[in-house]
Amino acid sequence: MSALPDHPVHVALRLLDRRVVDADGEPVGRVDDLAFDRDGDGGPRLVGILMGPEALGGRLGGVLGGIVAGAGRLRPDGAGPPEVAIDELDDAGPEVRLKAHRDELPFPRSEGWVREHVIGRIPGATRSSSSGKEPGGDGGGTGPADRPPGGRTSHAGGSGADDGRIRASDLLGTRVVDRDGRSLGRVRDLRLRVDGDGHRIEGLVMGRGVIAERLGYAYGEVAGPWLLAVVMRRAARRTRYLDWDAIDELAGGRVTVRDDGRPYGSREDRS
Amino acid sequence: MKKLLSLTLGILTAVGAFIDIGDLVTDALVGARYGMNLAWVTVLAVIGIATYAEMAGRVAAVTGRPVFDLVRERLGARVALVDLAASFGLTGLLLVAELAGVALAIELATSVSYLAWIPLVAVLVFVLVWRVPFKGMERTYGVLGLAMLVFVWAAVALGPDWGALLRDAATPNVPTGEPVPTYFFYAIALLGAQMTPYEVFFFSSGAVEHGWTAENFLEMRMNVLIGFPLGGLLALAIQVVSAVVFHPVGAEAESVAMTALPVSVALGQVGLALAIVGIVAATIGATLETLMSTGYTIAQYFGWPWGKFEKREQASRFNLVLILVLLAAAGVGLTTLDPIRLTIFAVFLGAATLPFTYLPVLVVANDVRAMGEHRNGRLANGIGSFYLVLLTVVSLAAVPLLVVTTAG
Repeated sequence: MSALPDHPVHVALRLLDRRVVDADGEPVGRVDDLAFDRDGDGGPRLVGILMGPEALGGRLGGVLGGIVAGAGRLRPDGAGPPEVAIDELDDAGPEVRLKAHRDELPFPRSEGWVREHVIGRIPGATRSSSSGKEPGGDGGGTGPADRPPGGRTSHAGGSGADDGRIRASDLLGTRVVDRDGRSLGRVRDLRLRVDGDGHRIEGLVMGRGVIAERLGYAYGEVAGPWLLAVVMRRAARRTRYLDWDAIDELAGGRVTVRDDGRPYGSREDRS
Repeated sequence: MKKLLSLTLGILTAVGAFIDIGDLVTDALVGARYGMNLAWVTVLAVIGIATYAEMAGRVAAVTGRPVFDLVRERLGARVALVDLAASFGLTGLLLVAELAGVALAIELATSVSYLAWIPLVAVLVFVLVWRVPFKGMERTYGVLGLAMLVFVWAAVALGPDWGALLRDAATPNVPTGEPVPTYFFYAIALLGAQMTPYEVFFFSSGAVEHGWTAENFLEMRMNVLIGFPLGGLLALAIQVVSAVVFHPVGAEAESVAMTALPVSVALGQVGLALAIVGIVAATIGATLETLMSTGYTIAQYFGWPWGKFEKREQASRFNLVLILVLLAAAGVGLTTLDPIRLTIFAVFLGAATLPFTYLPVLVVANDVRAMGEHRNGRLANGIGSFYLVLLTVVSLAAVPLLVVTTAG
């Protein structure tokens, strides 16, 4: 069973950037990127969530993204950003909940490093300042940094679409052009749907604005307040939807398509 | 008593926000310069901040997610990073000013230069953050901050012509001889100081630290409905005493000493002592609020564990940020940079970032899937929309005004 719902999912609106918590509900990071596999027929299949600064840096792009990603590569194994397979998610509602406990995860390493080398050395660090929680906890809280990495996570390889793998950030924000080179806007969201063995990209949401699609007004998932809804729907009136099959080529930092899709945001498009 | 103590989150948030060093000085300054002609800004700010704090508190109670969590989730990694840089930078600047503000208030009582007090205040703040639980911190400074009510007492004791003050406040105009852009510069600075983003960062994160759920709506709303109007009342009291003592003689007020002076005119040494206690408590409250907010925003953007209820070893990066920010702020405070000008500048620019902070709150409060039956009603949406438009206009007008008036 997948943690994702059966109805179509807009990933930028409902999955990317969400908080990720472990089985106890403790924060372990955010959904910094998504990994897809281009296997079989149809659109790429969602295989995992990517977390940590290296994945985030790849999404931010530019010099700053490079710096953030560089901080992520300070990890000793240098194996790419941590990836959690999609069937290791317990739930992907308002926040993403993992099946694993944080001590079983090989990340976030920096939390353990800072704990061991800085915070743990300041007097009073090991006592909880709260009276609300039972003192001591599970007793295993200190020093998990040297635990072996859990077998349930892996590391994503390098970015790029050549190895049959693709990331959400390879598509989002990319310019969409038709065969004559005319710009149709940029990819603003990816629509997934259940397809046999998992969730596959069904199509792209394209737009010229940035905010209306991102906030959910273009698909009617957020309704009010009245004033915002009117302004945002107007901003999103040229939002279009394109089936994955209509893509000719994904190369050179742009998506070439063979038709210009259809207007998006009618009642049937709402998930 | 327990009921009363459960209101301290709202009181600390509001007192720390309405009576921080920026407000203390700006209130006295506008009172002296414009009389009660800018009182409408405080009324406007109280309604706006109460509306958005209630919304953010409700979202936090229902979804368990505080404001900067929502900023990242709704605006996406890139836009949220810009917002993070702006919010973090401005809150950090305010922290420098608050530290200096506590030190200035102690200088007032001891006549020893504030520069000597800054390192000591920083150490005290570190101990508070490190050793004192959230509720203890909130109660101590929420309750001590009530000493600021001495300004209300002073206003009554001065026996002003209330009718005339009320007339000025109800029919505001730019006093003759004052340039119009400068009047609006101070209106925005005051609005920025009273609606600063760190208030909702702190209040919503505090709601999560309290473990509030939908069952705590009443408690949360009482905090909002008592805390913010109380903060507004104190702000108006400072404006009144300053307007009564300084405005008729055309004196300028641009220091902590000048803010406290009318109280000693009205009530003598006892009043002044109470005012200093209140100012120290309120600025320490504001120091804690701004410091914690810098940690909250960064930790929530990156998805780190955060908060004082976390066992410290589980929120080590959050605690490291607090320590580094505090050290940096104390360092900047020691450079003798004028903390007062710094604050006015920071709150003014802070006003320009307000739409980015409040927009995600308004959107999520309307998300059927996230909020269900607890989503915004017409009242919250009506007021929320009005303020979003207002703040957008303010945001667009801010930078041109800064250039025209050269910061007042």
